[in-house]
Amino acid sequence: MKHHSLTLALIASAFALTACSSTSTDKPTKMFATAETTIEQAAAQGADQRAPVSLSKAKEHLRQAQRAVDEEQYTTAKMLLEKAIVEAEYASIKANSEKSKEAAMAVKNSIQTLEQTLDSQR
Amino acid sequence: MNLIKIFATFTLLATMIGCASTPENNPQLEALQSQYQQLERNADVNKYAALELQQAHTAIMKVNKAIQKDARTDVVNHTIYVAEKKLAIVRATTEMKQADAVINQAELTRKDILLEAKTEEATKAQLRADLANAKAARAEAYAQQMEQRAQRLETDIKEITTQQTERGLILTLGSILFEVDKAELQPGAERTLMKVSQFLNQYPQNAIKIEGFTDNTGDDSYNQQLSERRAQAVKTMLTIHGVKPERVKVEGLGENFPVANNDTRAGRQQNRRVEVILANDENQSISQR
Repeated sequence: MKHHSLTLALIASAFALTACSSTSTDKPTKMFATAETTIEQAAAQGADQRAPVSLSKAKEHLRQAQRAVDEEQYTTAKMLLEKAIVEAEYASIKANSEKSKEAAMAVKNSIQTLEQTLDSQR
Repeated sequence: MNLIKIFATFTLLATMIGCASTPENNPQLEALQSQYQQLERNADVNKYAALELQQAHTAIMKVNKAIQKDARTDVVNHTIYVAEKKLAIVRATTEMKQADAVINQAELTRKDILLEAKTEEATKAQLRADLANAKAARAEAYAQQMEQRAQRLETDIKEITTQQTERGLILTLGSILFEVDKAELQPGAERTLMKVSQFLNQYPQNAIKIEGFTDNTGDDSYNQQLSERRAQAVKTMLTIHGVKPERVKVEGLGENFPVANNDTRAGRQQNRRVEVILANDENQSISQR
């Protein structure tokens, strides 16, 4: 009978632990690193010139997340980090999309020039 | 009976009200869903940003879940923020890949254009070659015909020899046409020059040059003048027989350009001559000797 209560207690504490780990109140260290990397990557893709608004928003979210972490407001920090990540992802894609559009325009123009040159030679 | 009816109506109404207040009718969620559906219908989005579209869908599901759970406003707003960004990522990805496709296509187009231009150039070169060949063939046929006619003339009239050269066809009229030391034509010369005129008039557009020559006996300037007067006399006779004077040039070359040795009588006789040169074709002008 005693043995049984111990088992029950163990199971209960296991449940409690599981519940704890899923309450999202632990420090989001890994997520913070991800946000930083994503922002760096966006900057490397030229987002500071081609998507400056999004990039600075992402940086601002990261700053606020840092403050929330300092205040141990981890739930808030996680939301801010998620915002920072998605904003940086967008900035990255936006920068690349702008680059591609510029290149497409340039190549269209060069073809037009080529056609005109050839036409004038005919 | 009536009571049951009233009760049923009430239940139905209650259900409807309940429906109306479900999270499905959240305007921000509806806006997100409508944007999503629009993207989902776009062929390029499906082609270029299928994964991003899936992620946007997941994000919108989270908005829905947060609303249904009656989550705090800041949490709901957070999920909306993320979902909006995910939709923006779908659009930007699609645009990027569309532009990339344009670039790739353009590269092909550029190659096509260059290839087309090359082919066209090759065709043109072939045409030019064909044209040149045709011209050459025609020129050869023309030259052959002229030579045949000249040979007939040569057979016809003994006082004439013909020679095809770069400058043109040269008809050499022997000194027999002229009296010694004179520029007047012999009576029999007219018949010869009439035949020559007929021959020349078979080529009415070709330039003609008449050059007079003497042997080396006598004074240089006298010989030059004599040769020129003889050439002129030939021109006059040709003109009488229908050769247009404007196409005939005359030059006296005196004792220059002998064709035989002036030390012998036979040689001197050969040197006393008039040459009528007919241009090889209509566009050629006869060069100076």
